[in-house]
Amino acid sequence: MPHISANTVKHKTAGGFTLAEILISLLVFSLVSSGIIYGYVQANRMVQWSSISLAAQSYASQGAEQARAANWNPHGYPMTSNFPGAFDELPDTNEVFSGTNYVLDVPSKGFPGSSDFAFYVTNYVTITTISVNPYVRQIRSDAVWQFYLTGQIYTNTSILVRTSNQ
Amino acid sequence: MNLATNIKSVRMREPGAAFTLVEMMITMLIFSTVVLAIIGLQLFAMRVSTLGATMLSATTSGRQTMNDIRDNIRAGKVVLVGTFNATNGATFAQAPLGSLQEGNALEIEYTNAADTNFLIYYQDPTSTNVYSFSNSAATSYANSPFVPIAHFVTNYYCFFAENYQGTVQTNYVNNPVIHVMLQFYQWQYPIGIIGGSAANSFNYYSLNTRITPRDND
Repeated sequence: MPHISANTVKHKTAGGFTLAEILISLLVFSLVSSGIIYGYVQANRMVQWSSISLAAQSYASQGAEQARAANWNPHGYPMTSNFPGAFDELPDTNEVFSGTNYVLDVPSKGFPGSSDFAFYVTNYVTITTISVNPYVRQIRSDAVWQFYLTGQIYTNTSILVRTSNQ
Repeated sequence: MNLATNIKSVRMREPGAAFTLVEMMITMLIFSTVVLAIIGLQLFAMRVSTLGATMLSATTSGRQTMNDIRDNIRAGKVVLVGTFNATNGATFAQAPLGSLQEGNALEIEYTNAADTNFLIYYQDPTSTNVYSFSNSAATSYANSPFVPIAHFVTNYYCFFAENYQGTVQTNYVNNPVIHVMLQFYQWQYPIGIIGGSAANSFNYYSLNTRITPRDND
């Protein structure tokens, strides 16, 4: 039987955790912490995405409203089209509105001309004829934007049906 | 040699034995670190919450205003863009023909007579509020004094009459797109301490909408 001295017993009763225990506890703590932090980050990311998506939906509606305001008098003569003031200002067509003037209404820090205010949008307005008698057209407005955190492209759409002015 | 048995025997604490001072100090140190981290996280979350509340308070009234303006433009018969000064006769002046159809005020008429039923929205540059008032019982602002419906609006030209391409018109036409633009500047963190440059003290918000009135009768 091995001899156990008094000093050895004292050391053993004051023994700490083993390395394996420490590592496992650190692993568990890291997993829990990373889960909590990931939850915060995901919530923030969803808020960002929602705010941009709402702004894009608003922009799509604006494009549809603009197209609805186009003059369309099917009984006008001569029926020249596709310029302001014509009897049919916006016939069946695809219009693309894009550039640095097309900025989404997303709350941001600083002046809108600065680089951190760069939530741009491209607006595609598509006009298609649904019926000739009676005169009915469909206006489809697509607001295409890119989520800056992932680079993924999203599209918000607004569709209206309009008839002629007369 | 039975290692497991040996380890188990090492980990055994004698019955009734207390922790040592070193154990307690290390435990307190770890506990304090964790508590400080949690408190820091809570403070950070409160800061983020305040920032979010500031944004929402600035934009909520603006969005409500947008909804209200949209509904009334849809219901209106004639929509005019012009200027309005509440302290100078309190009369609406339509944007002159031949000049840009833009201004700080929007008048919506519910009949062909401008003096009988109207609703006016206007931005006051002194108070930076958008007000509304009406002489029509058909609106929610019936015979009301000037009611502020949006705050911190800094741009004087809030209303534009545009064509379908987004160009501001230079004459009155009966099928305009009414472009409403509200720009806000608001303190980013109202309960915070502003830094030396104060570069991040204010946030910029902009709300735009475009509404096409209904076709004429």
